[in-house]
Amino acid sequence: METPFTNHLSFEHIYEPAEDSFLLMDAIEADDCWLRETVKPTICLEIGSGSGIVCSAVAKFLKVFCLATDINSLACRATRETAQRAEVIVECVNADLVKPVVTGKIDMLIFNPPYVPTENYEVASSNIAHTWAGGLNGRQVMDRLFPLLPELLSERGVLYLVLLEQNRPQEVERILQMQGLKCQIVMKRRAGIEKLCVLRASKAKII
Amino acid sequence: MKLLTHNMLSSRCIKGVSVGYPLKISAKNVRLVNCDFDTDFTVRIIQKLDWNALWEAAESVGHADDIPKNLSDIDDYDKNDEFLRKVHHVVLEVEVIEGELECPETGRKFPIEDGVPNMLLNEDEV
Repeated sequence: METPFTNHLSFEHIYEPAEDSFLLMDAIEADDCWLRETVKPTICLEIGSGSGIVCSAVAKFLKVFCLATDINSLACRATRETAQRAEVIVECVNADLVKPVVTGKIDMLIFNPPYVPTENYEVASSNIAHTWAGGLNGRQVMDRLFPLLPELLSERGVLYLVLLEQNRPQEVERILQMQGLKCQIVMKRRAGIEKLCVLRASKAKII
Repeated sequence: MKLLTHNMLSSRCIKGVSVGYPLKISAKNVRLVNCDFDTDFTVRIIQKLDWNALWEAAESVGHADDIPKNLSDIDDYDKNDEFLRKVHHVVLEVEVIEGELECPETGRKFPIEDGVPNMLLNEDEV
C-alpha cells in the first residue's frame, strides 16, 4: 500500500497523520487477500477522513469507490486534495459521523476516531481538539456510531476501528458482538505512551 | 459532488423525516471530468445504485438522455459495453460544483460548495 503525500497540507486545523493513521493502513493492508477475495468491497466510507491519507491509500490499494465524511469543511477540502495528488477518487461530504449516508450500502467502513480520554466539554470543539478529544474513556464519539453499524454496513460489510487501550477494547468488542458483528483485534502497536490497536468487526465470513 | 455520491445521501437524519430520499438537486454549476472506465467496477456499482434516484439526478443536471429511465429496459446490462460506459459517465464524470440538495419532505436545503455537500445539521434538527 502506497502512502499518499500530505505535504501539500497545513495541519493547523486538521489532524496530521501519525502512528494511528499508519497502523490503520497497515491493518487494512494485512487483510489484502481476504478483502479482495471475500469482501470485494465496492463502496468504502471513511469517517473523519482529516487529511484524507487513509481513504486515499485504500482507494488506490483496493480500487474501491471511497466516500468520506468529516465534520470540518477544511478537512473535506484536504481530503480531496490528497486524493487528487494520489490520483484516486475520494468524494468527501461535510457531515457529522454517518448522518447523511444511506443504509445497507457500505462494504468497508474506516474510522480513526477522536479516542483520547478527555473532559466531555472538549469533544466536538471548534478547534483542532475535536480531532482527538474523546470524552469519558475516549469513547464519546465512537459510541455514537456503534448502534448504527448493523443498518449502515452491507451484508458483507467490515469496520476497521482504531482504539487506545484506555478505550476498553474488550468492552467495545462485546458491544459490537451484541450488534451481530464478528470482532477481532487484528493489530497492536505502541506509539510513545499510546498503546494502540485496530479492531476489525464484520458481518462477512472470516477465513 | 458526483452523482454516485448523491445516490448514497439522504436527509433521514433530520428529526421528523421518514425517508428523506432521494434528495433533489438544483445545480448552479456542473462540471464534466474524465475518469478511467472499468467494466467490472461499473457492473458492481450498478448493483449498489438506486436506479430511480440516479435517473432523477441525471435529469436534474441535464443528463437524462445518457441512461434509460428503467434499468430493466436493458437486457444483460453487464455485457453491454456501450451501456456500461454511459453509466460510468453519469455516475463518475458529472460533478455538481455549486448548487443545493433539498430534502424531499421538509424542503430543507443543503448547500454544495466547491463540489462538497454540507450536510451538517442544526441542533434543533437532530
